[in-house]
Amino acid sequence: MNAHRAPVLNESPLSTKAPLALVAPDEAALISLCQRGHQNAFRQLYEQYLGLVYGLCLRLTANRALAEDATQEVFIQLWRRIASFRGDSSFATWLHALCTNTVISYLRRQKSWRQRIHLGDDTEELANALEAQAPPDLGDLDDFIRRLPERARVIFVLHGVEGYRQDQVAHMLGIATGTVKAHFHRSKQLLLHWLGQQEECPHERS
Amino acid sequence: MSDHEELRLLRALDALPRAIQPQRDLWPGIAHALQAEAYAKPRLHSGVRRLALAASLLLMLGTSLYYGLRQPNPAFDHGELDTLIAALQSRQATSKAALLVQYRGQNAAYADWQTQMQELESAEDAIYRALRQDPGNLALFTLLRQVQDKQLKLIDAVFSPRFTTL
Repeated sequence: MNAHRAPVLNESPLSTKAPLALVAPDEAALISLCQRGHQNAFRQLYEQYLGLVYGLCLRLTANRALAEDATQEVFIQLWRRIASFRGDSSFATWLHALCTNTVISYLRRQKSWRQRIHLGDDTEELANALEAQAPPDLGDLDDFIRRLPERARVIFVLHGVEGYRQDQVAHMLGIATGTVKAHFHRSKQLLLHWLGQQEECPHERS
Repeated sequence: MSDHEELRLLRALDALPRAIQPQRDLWPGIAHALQAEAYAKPRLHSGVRRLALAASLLLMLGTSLYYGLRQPNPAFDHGELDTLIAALQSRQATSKAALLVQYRGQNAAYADWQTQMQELESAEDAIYRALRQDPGNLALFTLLRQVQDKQLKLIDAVFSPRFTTL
């Protein structure tokens, strides 16, 4: 895990949304209180960022129970590390990096991680796995993303949705940049394929 | 892939909500963990932490020095001990000589002060001998310092007696 790496959150290569702008006027005071151990202030910070943290956790884990656990772990890590936040980047960016690294670390502790991420780096294997997936019958892109194999999903979410550079994603996951590129490309192809199928058969939407 | 498909994916990505709310309240679990941490390891203000760290380091240094002197040091060979003793003797001799120069020309208040000084110097020599046998004994170093101080105080008392008025 790379928790202390300078968080560089770029805009997604696919998304046209504006970068996160989440600093509330009184946020500095809230953070300062948290840094001095005030749990009530931390509760406010939690409420402010819960949706964003849980959203990222859910997309990365693709599992509600895992996402809930990971979210709790992110906020516990935040409580432990908030004293080290010096304001060099925006708090949202710093928290985003903390969240990403915590979830990756959390996923690594799951039994399936080594199997899914570190074994089978061969892109052909991924391609076969992707082709073997039955087209999802759910409607929105989130549902399609959830159906990607774990490595492909994590890579797509980090690069395609969250905007980390491919080399950053490679560093976070401990894999080659070329592997990230290949998986991202194949994931995108599969998502486009599923979206196309959905367009052709709109009745399959739930 | 066609531009149409690419555009569709872009639109779908833009439509993704950044924030998603969990279906259950996650705070109680977090609060419980924070409470457990608070009991296990009280949070200290960073200034207090730094002070505590500095105090710990000083304590470690003091302990190391104490035990370094207290316990025989295998690396402390006889040559080094001789050098140390020679340095201590030289420093003491210099201090005594400086005092005697300061009191030159003054009469001694006690006739037998040199006998007393010889007794103290004999004690000092005995301590050096003991140190050669037990160089890790801190008590001998303390005793040596006391005996050397007594020698200097004796010179002061002999040549510069202080009379107190009650």
